[in-house]
Amino acid sequence: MSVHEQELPGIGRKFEIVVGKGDRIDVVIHHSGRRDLYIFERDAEDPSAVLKLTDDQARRLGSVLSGSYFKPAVVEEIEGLIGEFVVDWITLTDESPATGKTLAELQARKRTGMSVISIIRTKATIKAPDPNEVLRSGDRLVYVGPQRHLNGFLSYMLG
Amino acid sequence: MADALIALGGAFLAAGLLARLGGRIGLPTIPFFMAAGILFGPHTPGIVLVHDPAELELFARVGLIMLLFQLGLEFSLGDLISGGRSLIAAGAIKLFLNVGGGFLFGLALGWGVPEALVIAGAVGISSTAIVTKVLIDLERLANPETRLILGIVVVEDIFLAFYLAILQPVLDKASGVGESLLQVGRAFLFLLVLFAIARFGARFVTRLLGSEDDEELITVVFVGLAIIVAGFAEEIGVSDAIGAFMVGLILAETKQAHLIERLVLPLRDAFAAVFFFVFGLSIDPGSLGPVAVPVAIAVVMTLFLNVGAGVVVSRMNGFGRRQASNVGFTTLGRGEFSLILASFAAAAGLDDRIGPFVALYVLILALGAPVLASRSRWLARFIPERALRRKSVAGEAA
Repeated sequence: MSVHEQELPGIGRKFEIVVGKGDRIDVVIHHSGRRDLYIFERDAEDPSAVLKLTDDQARRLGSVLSGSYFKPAVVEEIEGLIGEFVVDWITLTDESPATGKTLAELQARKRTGMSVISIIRTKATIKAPDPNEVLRSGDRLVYVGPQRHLNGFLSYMLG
Repeated sequence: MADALIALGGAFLAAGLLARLGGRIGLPTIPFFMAAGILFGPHTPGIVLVHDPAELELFARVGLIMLLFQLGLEFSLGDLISGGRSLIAAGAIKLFLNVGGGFLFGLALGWGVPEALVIAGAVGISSTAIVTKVLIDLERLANPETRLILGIVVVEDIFLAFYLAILQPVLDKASGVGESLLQVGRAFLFLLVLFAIARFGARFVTRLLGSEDDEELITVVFVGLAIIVAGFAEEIGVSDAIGAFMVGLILAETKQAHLIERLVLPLRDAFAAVFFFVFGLSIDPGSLGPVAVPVAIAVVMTLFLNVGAGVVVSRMNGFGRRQASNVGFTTLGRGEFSLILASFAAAAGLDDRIGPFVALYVLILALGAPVLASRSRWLARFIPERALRRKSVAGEAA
């Protein structure tokens, strides 16, 4: 499968996705958020179907396609492997006990069993955590660890 | 006051309801907004909503400012550059043929050189609104030649801005060489300052606009900026339209650009409709007869030049007859830009046949283009095969 991306000046972007034996799905994403799906059979000049979706409809269709609504058996197997682990993030506030401390001081893994694997600060910066970095209000901490330690970790970090 | 309110409300309603009728059969709105102005204006029998177009002049001006402001806001040099040289070349060829042809035609009419310049722009520049509508309605966004068409439209948008900028000093009847030089100098300086702000002042303007969370205040501030800079521009002799376009370019560089792009649309739609309506008010149907022959010639000329441009552009890109036909007929629509130029001519006191000429020309092409574009596959057979022979094999593979 190949995806080919193109600018459509003034309209948005076009993604050409070739599937199967040369059938093609073109997705046009408008600046307005609207999505058009053009379905071309192999070598056809005219689309055999055109679907116009709102932003919301497109997202739902997307999540159906990605398996979020109904998980095909294949996906469930993969999830079973990481089953009891959680990967998520928390956002620190002024009131959080962890705010103003360093990861070295906190010793989260030793005390709670969960590991902080990354600090996301403002929109752009993602840091590999330096143990001596002072945590600030608004920082997002990405953590990973066994499900059973989650509650303890949350109350330790966020109060 | 009551009269003015009834006139304004009537203008909106008449324009909106008439355009809805047209929309039912897939026709674009602009010719209907203008036609509403003609029908409910002082020159036709029946209901006269507005006796004196001057009553709505301020609102029409705001419409013009919003049209150009939005154009500046959406204009992205990055889009064009990343699209590559083929898009810029396509736009340049289409403009060269159509504006060039329009200028020669304008000279041949013998109405004068400034008049010829206005006609060149009015017959040369396609309507972005109609082209986009045709592409979406005919479901051609995924066609290979659509990028070329959109490239042409973007090149034309920026061309229009520059064209208006150089046209203004020509139209203003300055009293002497010294004064007009001074005026060009001032205009140039003003544009330079605005360009500098667009380039280096984005952070300052971002702060001026305020927080992205407050849509209300952002709206109030950007409307104020667009209108006041348009006013200063007019004062200096650069034309309000260019001022508004430049503010759009400046705001496009700010953090709030995407938000403003969304917020400006309803304002533009409403006030631009008034602009087209007010243009219609100034048209006396009786004045259309005398310009019918020049308009007919201009329409035929535009048809040939447009399809000719489609052929040249398609050949350069290795496309076939069908794509050439699509490019030619999709870009055939004329609308907002032609009417803006005609309103410039009226304001500058040029030959008063320009208004009716452009009105009739736009009416025919704005209504005819979507119909022809929907038959472009069939029309392609009239394009001589050998015009595209060189690379047409590659076109079929694409």
